[in-house]
Amino acid sequence: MTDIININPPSGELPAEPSKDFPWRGIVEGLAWVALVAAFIIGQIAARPDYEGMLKEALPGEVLIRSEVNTTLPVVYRVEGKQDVIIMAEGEGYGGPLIVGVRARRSEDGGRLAEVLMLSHKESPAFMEKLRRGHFFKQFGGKDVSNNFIVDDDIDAVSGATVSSRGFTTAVREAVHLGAVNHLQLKPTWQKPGWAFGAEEAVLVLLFVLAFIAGYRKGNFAKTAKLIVMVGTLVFVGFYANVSLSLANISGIFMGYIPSPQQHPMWWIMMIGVLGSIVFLGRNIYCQQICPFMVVQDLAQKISGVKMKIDSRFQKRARTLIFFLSWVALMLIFLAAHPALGSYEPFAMMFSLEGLGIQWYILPASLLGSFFVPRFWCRLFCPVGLYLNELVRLRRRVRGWFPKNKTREA
Amino acid sequence: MARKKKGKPWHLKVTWTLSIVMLLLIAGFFYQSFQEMLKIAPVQVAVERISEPNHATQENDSIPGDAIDDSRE
Repeated sequence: MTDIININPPSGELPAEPSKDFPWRGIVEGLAWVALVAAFIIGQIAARPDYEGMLKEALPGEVLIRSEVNTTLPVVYRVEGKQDVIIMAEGEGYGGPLIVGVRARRSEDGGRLAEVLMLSHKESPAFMEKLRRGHFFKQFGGKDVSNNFIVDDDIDAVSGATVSSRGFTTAVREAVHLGAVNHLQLKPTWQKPGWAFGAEEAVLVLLFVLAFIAGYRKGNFAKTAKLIVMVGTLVFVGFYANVSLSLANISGIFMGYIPSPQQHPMWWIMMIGVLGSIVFLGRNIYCQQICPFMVVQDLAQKISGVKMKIDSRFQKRARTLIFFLSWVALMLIFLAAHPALGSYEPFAMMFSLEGLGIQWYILPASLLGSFFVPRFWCRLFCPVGLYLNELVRLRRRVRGWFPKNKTREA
Repeated sequence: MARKKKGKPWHLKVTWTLSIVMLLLIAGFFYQSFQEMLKIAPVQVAVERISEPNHATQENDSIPGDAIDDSRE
């Protein structure tokens, strides 16, 4: 069996620099960048929301009169012939903005939430299925407009889709409370949401701290920390919170989908932990320790005990292959202005066991590959790993520009 | 005596096959996403509708006792 063992590159090592044998490389890369920029611009122009059109399509039987008070979100409409008011507002999901339309109706004791329409979202289908199956949306039916509409207070989040739950709740809350004050003339009796930093966020911080320790110290304590991180990341980052980094997160940043730290501290902890380890320590701690899918692959490999090597020609071109795959994915994402649309990774599906269409085949195929080839997905297909490693390489290059570091490296 | 042609080791064939299958699946995912993208018109419609259980809208009348219409338009 030893002849087929060749883990290349070994864990934590950067993949080889690309060979410069292709003469048209510069031109092809230039065209690829131009296409990406064009797709981004086209996508942004095409994705300008037509709020009124959205509502009219969703409520074909109603005559809506737009309030002159608000011209940007939240937008308010009165319904002709009824005492209803419809407010459109925006929340921040995991993949980008969620736009909801909320119908508030006057009742004897104040007002009730009569209807909620999710008009647009950029979440992965897996997250939406999770919310739907978790009966998350049912909680809003018939609620009083004076409710707090705060997750973990009067609304329960669905585990594995916490960020999406919070985003949806925020959008509904903004809309309902605006309608309650401005149009139903109610006095605000509800609580304002505070920082959403709780036990879940503390666990994620702890995992990063332990990962740093495991990476820098030796001995039994480091070994224990590594084991805790391995189990913790699989259970918590994977199955419980389902907040693995994906191409959707990276592309979302380019499109300006950055959630507020108050409402989504977990996103910020993840980004600060991952990018901080690269900038300050020069290490890709996410791929080495935090990624739950890496743990799954290692477990699959341990079960099989087989370590097949990849054809060296294929391995050499893996970097180019991942760049090409992520380019196609980014073209789709930018054109549709929808980060989840091109994110081909199996992470969200793995940890929610929800998916659509061909996603059901990508996950088992990647697990089967990991059964025979160590870190099959990481080495041949993962765009997140490649980009993070490129950042580590960029940091090394930048440090090399300074004479002090040049001397030290020499 | 004719020299026996040396082929690829069996494990390389396995990893090649696995890699090609993965690539085909990812290509299939892109095709699926492209089809989805064409469906997303500039005007998006409701994908989820929740209404007060006792005041069901026309869409929800067909689902007695259920406040959610899960239909995707």
